Amino acid sequence: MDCPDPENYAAIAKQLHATALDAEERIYCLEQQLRSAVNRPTFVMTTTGTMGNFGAVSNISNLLDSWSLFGGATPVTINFQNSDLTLRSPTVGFRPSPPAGIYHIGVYINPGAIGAQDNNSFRSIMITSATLNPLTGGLQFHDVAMRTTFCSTTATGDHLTLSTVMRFDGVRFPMFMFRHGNTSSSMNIAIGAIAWITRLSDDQVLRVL
Amino acid sequence: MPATTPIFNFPFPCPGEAITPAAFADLANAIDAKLVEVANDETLALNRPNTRRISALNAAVARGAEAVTTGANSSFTIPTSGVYLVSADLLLFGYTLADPNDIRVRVRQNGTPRFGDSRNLEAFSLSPGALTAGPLVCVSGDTITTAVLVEGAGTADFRVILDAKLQVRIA
Repeated sequence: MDCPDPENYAAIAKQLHATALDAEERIYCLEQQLRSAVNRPTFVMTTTGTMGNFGAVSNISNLLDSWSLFGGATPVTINFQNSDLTLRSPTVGFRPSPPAGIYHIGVYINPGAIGAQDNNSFRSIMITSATLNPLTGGLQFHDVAMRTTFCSTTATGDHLTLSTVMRFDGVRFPMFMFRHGNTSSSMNIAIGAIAWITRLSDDQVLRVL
Repeated sequence: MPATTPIFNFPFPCPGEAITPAAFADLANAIDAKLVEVANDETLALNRPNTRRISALNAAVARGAEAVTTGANSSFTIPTSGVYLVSADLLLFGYTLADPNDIRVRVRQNGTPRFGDSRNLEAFSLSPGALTAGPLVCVSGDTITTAVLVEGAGTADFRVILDAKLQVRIA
């Protein structure tokens, strides 16, 4: 700090002002970086109504013979959202694509037979990153994670959770797909199904703090 | 009357004010206090609250009724509000082979089941277990517990390994 002259004592106040603003600017940037590291973009939602009347099926060989869950018409509560990151389609037919990065994504469902249950038949949940084929307009699957369980003879209900790490690039969108082998009746997913996604890191880490 | 910076309200004297040592001290103390907050953020960024609890053995659990895991290390109290990733790993012991035919483990938040996993054990031959993981939006003081359901004949003992880690802090 410059030594003040009688003609310029106000310079001290101006220098303190400049110091305060400089300190604020530097600390603000550091604080935002740290809070971004702690508060990663995260989205969690839970259904408040049942999903589907998923008809009896017997063909388990084709991934495309699956039902997409958490569609735009599904009533949900958004439990947490701290950024634009979302799994919710604001309009029918629009699928949000997470910005480029590495994400932890997961789902929980409790499927149940609406009518008769076929003991030891399968229930399967799949998380995939998908794009639309520009030529056919159909879905094209890229990364896939899957979990399968088989219902037992007792009525404990089927509960499946699946989570995985996936890369998204601003184009690929996440989908949650359900299949079952309960040929005797249709199935639905009970209230309380959960889907979540949280950002782990940038696509390319240039510097480690 | 001193003015303040727009974001953190660091005080500084206005031109024309009498400058005293207090002007320097007030600014220095304000910056110091803010740096302490930032240091706390750094600590939290590097040391997220997390836990692994291996429950005491829950013995002779009867079939057909969901049993809340009890004993030492069977629950976790949330220390800081936020979104936690919670997992529960059910390990079954003390059973007669082929007696249990289905098992289920569920994670509860303040007594309310949130998510779980079930396994069909009919005709199994390996050590049975079930694993579930999911997010919980918690406030400080929430209690996380687990509950287990075993179906079939006889009884079984079990332990649950409960893991929880803060993913996002809620201010």
